[in-house]
Amino acid sequence: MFILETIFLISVILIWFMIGYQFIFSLFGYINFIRSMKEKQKVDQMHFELPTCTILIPAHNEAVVIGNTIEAMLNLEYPEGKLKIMVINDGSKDQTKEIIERYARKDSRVVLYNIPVGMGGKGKSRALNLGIQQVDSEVIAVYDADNTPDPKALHYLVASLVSDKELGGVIGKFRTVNKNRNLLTRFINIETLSFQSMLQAGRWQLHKIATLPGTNFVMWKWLIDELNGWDEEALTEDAELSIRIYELGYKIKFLPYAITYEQEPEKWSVWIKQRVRWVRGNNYVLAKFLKEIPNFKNKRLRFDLLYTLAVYYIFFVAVVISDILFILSLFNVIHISLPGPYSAVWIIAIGLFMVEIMLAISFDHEDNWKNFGLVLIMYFTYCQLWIWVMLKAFYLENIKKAAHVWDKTVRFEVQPNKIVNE
Amino acid sequence: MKRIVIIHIALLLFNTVIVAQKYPLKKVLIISENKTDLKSEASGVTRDLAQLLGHFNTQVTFESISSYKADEINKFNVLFYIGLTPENHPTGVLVRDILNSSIPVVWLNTGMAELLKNAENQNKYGFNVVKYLENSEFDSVKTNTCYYTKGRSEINLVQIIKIKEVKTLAVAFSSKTKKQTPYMLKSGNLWYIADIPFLGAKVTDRYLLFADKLHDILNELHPESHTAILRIEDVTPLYDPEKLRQVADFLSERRIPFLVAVIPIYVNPQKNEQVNLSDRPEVVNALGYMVSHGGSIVMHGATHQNTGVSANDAEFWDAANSTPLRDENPDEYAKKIESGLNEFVKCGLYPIAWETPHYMGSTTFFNVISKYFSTSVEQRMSINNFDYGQYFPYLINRDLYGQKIFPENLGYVPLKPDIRDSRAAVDKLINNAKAIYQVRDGIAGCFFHPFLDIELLKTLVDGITAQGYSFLNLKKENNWVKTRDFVILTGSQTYTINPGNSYLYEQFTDQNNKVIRKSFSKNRIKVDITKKIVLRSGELYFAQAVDYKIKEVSFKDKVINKSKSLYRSWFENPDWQPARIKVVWNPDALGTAWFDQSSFISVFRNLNMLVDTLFLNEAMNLTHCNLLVVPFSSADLLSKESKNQVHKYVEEGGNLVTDCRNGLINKFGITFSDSKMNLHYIRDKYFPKESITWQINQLVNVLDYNADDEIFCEDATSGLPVAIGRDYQHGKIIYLNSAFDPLTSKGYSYYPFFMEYVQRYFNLHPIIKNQNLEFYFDPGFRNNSNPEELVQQWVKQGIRRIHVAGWHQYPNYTYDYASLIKLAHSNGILVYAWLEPPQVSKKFWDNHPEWREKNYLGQDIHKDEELKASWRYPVALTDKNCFNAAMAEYLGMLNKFDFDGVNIAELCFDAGLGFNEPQIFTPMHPSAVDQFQRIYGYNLKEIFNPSSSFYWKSNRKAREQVIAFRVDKITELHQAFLSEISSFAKTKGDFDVVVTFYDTYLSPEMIEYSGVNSDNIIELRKKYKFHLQPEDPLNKWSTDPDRYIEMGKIYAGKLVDPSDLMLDLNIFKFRDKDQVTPFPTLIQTGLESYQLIKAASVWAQRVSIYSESSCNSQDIPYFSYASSGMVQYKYLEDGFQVSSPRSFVLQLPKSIKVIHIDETDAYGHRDNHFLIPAGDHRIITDLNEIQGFSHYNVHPQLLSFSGNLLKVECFLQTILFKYESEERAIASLNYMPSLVRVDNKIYPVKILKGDDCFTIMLPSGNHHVEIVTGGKYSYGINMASIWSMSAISIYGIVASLLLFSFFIALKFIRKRYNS
Repeated sequence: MFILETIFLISVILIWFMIGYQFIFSLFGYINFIRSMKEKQKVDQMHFELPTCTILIPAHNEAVVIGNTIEAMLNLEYPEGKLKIMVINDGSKDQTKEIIERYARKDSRVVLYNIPVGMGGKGKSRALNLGIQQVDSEVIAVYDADNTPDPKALHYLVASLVSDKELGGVIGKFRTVNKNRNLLTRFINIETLSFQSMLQAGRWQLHKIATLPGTNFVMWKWLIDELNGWDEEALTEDAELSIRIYELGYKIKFLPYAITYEQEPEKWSVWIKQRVRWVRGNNYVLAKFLKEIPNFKNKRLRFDLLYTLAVYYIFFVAVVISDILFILSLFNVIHISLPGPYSAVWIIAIGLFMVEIMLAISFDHEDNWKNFGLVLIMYFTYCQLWIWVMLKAFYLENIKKAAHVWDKTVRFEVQPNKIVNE
Repeated sequence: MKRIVIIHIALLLFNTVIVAQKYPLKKVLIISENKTDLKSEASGVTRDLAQLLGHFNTQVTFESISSYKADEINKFNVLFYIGLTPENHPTGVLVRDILNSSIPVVWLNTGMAELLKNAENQNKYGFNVVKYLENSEFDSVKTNTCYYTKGRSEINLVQIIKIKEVKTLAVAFSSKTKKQTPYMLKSGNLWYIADIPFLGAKVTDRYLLFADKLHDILNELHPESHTAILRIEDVTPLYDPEKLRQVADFLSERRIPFLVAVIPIYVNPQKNEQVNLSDRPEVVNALGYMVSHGGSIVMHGATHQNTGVSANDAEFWDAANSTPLRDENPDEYAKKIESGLNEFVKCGLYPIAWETPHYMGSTTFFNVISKYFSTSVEQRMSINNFDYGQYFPYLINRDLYGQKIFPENLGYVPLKPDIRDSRAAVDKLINNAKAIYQVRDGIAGCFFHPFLDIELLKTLVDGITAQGYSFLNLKKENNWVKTRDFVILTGSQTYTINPGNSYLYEQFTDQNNKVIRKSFSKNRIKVDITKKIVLRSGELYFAQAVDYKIKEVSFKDKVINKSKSLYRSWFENPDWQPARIKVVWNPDALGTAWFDQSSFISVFRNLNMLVDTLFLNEAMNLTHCNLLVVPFSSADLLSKESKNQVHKYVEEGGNLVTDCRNGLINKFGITFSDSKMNLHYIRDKYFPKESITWQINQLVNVLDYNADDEIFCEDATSGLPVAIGRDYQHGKIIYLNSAFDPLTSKGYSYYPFFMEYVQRYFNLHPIIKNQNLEFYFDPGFRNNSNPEELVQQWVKQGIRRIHVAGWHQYPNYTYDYASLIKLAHSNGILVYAWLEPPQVSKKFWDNHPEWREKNYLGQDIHKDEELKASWRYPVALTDKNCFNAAMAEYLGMLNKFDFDGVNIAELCFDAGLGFNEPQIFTPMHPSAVDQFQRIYGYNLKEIFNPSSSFYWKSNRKAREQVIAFRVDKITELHQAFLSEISSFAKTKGDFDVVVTFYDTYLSPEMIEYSGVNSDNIIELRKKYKFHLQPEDPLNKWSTDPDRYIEMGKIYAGKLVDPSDLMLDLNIFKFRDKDQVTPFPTLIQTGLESYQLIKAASVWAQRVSIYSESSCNSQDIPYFSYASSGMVQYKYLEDGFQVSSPRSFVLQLPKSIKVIHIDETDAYGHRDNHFLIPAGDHRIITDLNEIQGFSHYNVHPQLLSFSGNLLKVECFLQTILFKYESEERAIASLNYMPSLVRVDNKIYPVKILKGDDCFTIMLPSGNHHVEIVTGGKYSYGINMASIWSMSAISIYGIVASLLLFSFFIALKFIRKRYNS
């Protein structure tokens, strides 16, 4: 009799537990932002003896963007003779190789590394693993082939890395270069900004934990060697690597003022594909470490992983169940009568979501009225797509048992003058 | 380069279109034979000519040959001489003047011989007229380029002497012999035409040649232009709107402007039928559509008939006798035209030209019409003789009456059985257009009936367009239509109107018939005003003198009002309030004034709303009052100070009701015009379908209202508001523009829906309900409703018992009583079997012809419509076998279905008006006749045998014996029924019995009519237990509702236990339109119906109403207020003190969720209802509970209960209550009971799941009940839900606020780092 009511109540409470926890991240993300502003001011006045650094850029059919990216790399402020830009060409069938060669001829900092035939085509982690064997510098930086970092980004990242012995890596912030292209990219822009401001910055501030994002980060070369590089089975190889770094006793710091600009999907189909890959990748990571969680030395990491687990499973189930019950009772199939200010709770959830996001995107001056409207729309549309992504990932993983193929995210041509530099 | 060419072309086109050169005025003299009679040929042709000259800038003078005076010719610019007969001779003076004059002289036909009688003159002009032939071979006329028919063969043969000096412009020609003779000559200043071209003129006639040549004669050389006119013809209010839209769609698609000839009033005298345009909104809409798609409305008569059917008869001419109408009267004409025009204006349609029905009218008529319309589109009779119906080849700018006439000259497409014939007619029309094209600025006009195939129209317009014609848009011409009261204009012009001390309303519409501007004059205007109106091409202007004025809301006010209402809806409590009413009472009021003020008090008290009186001379204490009523008699007498107080009260948010123009209302900006209006037919805005007729008119001043006033009801004929609501500062006013009720002290005579106004406009409600309504339900009237919805509706309406018709058994179908009962029970409604003996069912009657009740002739009663005494199919219960069979049917049904009781209703002999209607007088079944014979020794049928000694009229004793016999039989039958049913009731346990019968105390005639005697029925109560339910007969239903108080009192006095009394009310549309009653409606509705219920429930605890489907649905919700009279209550500071012999429902505004009844918590359910047990209670409503953490709806609650609750206590999962009920009681709860104890013993119950409740049945009698709901688990979940959600809300709000403050703070923190 009261089973449905019970399930519904538990779902709502669980959902609110997540919302509540997210609020904590918001809070700490805010603190982190203010501290980072101070830190940047300080760092700008300091002088650093920077180690040698190699930028690794895996490239597979990137002719559309690679030229811009290399130019942006060449513009990076880094001491003379200490920087190398290694583009790892993973069997590109387009003009990628020629473009890189052209730059390599012009500037000695640019190095082309062609993965030998037969060894490549296995995804980003394989490319990086092969590429890193060619590196002889103390620090490596990784950028995606569509990136345009701020000229000082690498300087900030490496400076931060050398300033703290506990750090194994430092990650920067990425922003969306094509945010004004269409509704999807506007949504993604808001999403990525708030994700970084809450989950990366907040987690760093609260637990001293952050996750490698796949681009715009630096690491000690010896650390990579010690960890035997990236897991080539993982679809989200960086998340996997992050855990191993922490397990080794090092930390990854989030640095919001080291900024790069990157492309985001402009088509829903591309977006879905990418997100499904992430979900499947995170599943893999969780599965890989699930049994080891109790043995983790870093207690905060333990907690953090459990939280991620909760988000992906418990929270998801709660949302789906409460949605189904809501729809069923809407169509009078079932009847749930529970006392309490449910409509208030519902409205407050939207309200809290709105302030959280608006606060998060205000760090990057994106808190305009247009985005306010978009955030409201997102709540009912974009965010709900997450359910679809989860279901699809579940289907591919457990029913179709699809192979873990590293699908490269499709790039779109960018007009150089569209690049935003604030 | 290309662009320049286009511009040039555009300029050229522009030039040809707008050329309206001013030609100098020419004075024209027309001389004809001396026959001035308006029927004669002479005046016919001269006036024909004069009409044509109206195309030019001319001024025409008529003279006869003899009246011409010497040298007169010098006063004129042109002279026309028309010779009609060969015998006519111009006078010498005239001949001399012509010879000496140099002005153009145009000579038509005969008489020329006189001028040319000497050789000198022949020489001067160079030709001679040789001979006049009455019948010639010449049948046509031709010029160098054109060819015309010649409608008449007469001709003057001309011999040309000087070929060089005489120009032959046209010759007459014989198509047979190919001979020809000069027809039109010009020699110097003399023009000669060899016949009269008006005579016999058909469409292709030489008349066109003459008409065209007039340009040269008058030297007005108009530029060439070719215009066509399409008129959609004979549209009456009966027209198919779809057809009209089709035509408009087609023509607008082709960009063809057109005219629509509309007959605004359709009359068919044979059928005595009249349909006004305003009766057919769909046609009005279609016409509006036409106007917005290029149409211009032409008024085609008012009715287009005189004695015949519209559109078939001439209106201003006697077509049968071909004379003007007998005793024709210009005033009558004017009246008729105005009636038609008013009809148009009423519909928002504005004709801009006239078309005479059948083109037939007398000169008197044309004189009248020219005062109303500047423009006509037609052919004209030039004199009172239809032979002189003249068509025009071009626009007549100024006809004999000063009108502008656009021609119709091509004809029309007739409806032919064979479409090919219609097509041929179209071709002919197109051909005719070619003839008109020969006139340099000719206009080709035709008309088309929209009922024809639209293909024909396509061919027609395409054919005409192909010749180079463009269609006329009449809206773009200068036209005016004027009456004393209004004016319609197209094209910029100046007009004068005298609004006669009214306001002037002005309205501008654009080409597409959209109103672009409207305004009222600021003040009333008494004098002539002249206005210059500038209109853009295609715009229409309408101005009307109106007696009222709608004050337009200014933009600023609109903004303020909008923001006010937004503010209110957001921040002020939109919840309703319990009404607390004060009525200002004038102790000296007499007559109508006393009635009026008493009425106000009565209508509120009928719904158990508290009303205090404020004596006129006392200080105004308006605290705790949210509705102040100031009847007119007090309004005028209020002191200045009191008036100010009332004003301030409203300003600060109070609500005021006042009636009948009085000294108070103008303080609130309501003003009146001096004109009066007699109110009779009223249309209510909320219930427009209910026809309201005031039995006694009230004459009132018309009131000026604002556009944003709420209009509650209006005068049905003029649409002027009668009751309005107005927002005044923070408060509101309802103003009735007549006395509320000057006729009775009960308030039901004029404004049946007054309470709706109060409730909806002020949002003030009554609060005490007795939700124990009983209704009759006849599924036969609810064929299309599904029972689920019906039951849901009944629950909402507070219905607790349903008496369902028990006779719906048919050969192949029986009503599904079982599922109705189940549905009703599960939602807390008891169901009674409603039986109507001596009817069992139609099926029973059909199956048993031997038992059908008979009349004295042996015919079956109800065998046809003539032979029925009521709707019932009666059988002879006097027959033992029949009675047993009937009883078996009844008991079978009662056994089969779980009814809660039975209503034995109207068991009587339906006999109309008793002995006066022998053909339906019953009982006359052999069984009854037998029984009568045995008792009284003679044949019952003899009483209707005039020759018998027992004839009822002559034998008083026999008559009385029959009456006594019938009463005895009815009493016996009742007894027999009760006996059977009582034994059934014993087997069933709790079973309620109701006997419904005609009251014979107040309607003693019913003893004779029906055989019922109330005394006898009451007597039966000694032996049997049943509820006694009298009803009054139809002839009482239109008397004062308070009759039920009297009736209730009589019966209550006769009963040991007055609670056994019920009253039966009949509410349905039974009144005749022409019947005079004290009530304004045909059905008992609104205030009357509330009073009926209120009066009936004074003595009777139970009132059952016929029926749930015949009552107006808006009334039923009020009935539970009206039947709550037993509840006494008064307001306290924080709640109420109540006292009631029975339990009732207190309904409170939504904001009050929890109340205390004598320290016990109670929670609102459904529409925030609180079930209050019988007895005296102190109720506290001001509790200030925090809503979130309140656990109010976790507790079990009684949602409804059919018995009398004596005490209720609610605990966490238990509800305890005490009740009394004569029959089994039905209780609905919000939670499912898991355990029920009655009098401390576990009571097995069946739980029925209703829509929003769980229902159980409880035994009759006096009992303690304990109901436990749910388990600990569900309680825990519920509590967890409340607490967690409340906690989450608080957490969410705090978190949001915190983040928001961070968000703001960041703006400042940032500045520090950026600088």
